[in-house]
Amino acid sequence: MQNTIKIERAKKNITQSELAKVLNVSRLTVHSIEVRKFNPSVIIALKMARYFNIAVEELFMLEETD
Amino acid sequence: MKRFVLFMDNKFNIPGLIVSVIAFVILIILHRLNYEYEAGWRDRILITNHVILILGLLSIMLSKEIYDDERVQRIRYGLLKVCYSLTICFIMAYLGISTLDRVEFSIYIILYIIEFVLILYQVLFRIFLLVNPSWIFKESKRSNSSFYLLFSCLLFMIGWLIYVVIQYKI
Repeated sequence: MQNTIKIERAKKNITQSELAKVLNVSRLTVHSIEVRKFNPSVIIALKMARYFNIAVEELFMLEETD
Repeated sequence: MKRFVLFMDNKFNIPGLIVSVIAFVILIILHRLNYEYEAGWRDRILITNHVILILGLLSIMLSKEIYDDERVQRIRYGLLKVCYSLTICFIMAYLGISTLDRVEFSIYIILYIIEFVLILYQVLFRIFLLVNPSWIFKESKRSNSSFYLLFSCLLFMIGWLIYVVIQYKI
């Protein structure tokens, strides 16, 4: 599953730690989601989309292999 | 998503670590001293010490992380499955060896196995939190491997008990 978290973070100019604090998860969790090592739950995906003020589909995209 | 819900708060982490380290140091000292206070004293004190060490390690294992999010829970769940299976397999193997090859059964070996797996869990858990191994996050296709493993261990244990009863006419 692809994601645009890094781009959205850059737009908002926030670090992984700041995003982690908002989502109430660890920085490493944000990092592993960002580098696509870990697929988050719907709750975290929705929280992220709400924080960036975009739709979940814009933040997370399915790949051919998914 | 499968999770392992813990019942101990994060604050149990440090006392567990302190208890484990102290118990471990005392264990080494007891092995070095090698003296007898009264008959059976050594076994009593050693087993008590082992139990305290195991309790300390369990306290660390069953307490939450500062950020106990879904990634941490997933890693913990995956690793606990592996460690529980390892413990059962090691104990079964030792019981098998001690019965079939007539190796003298020792409770210390069982305690060492439990301690080894608990320490292995701690080391692997800390490493996995940093490296995020991909296999642990993969959604398994309802494979019943853990069920088969536990079932075979249970079968082995029943077989072992039958063998012991027949062999030694308990």
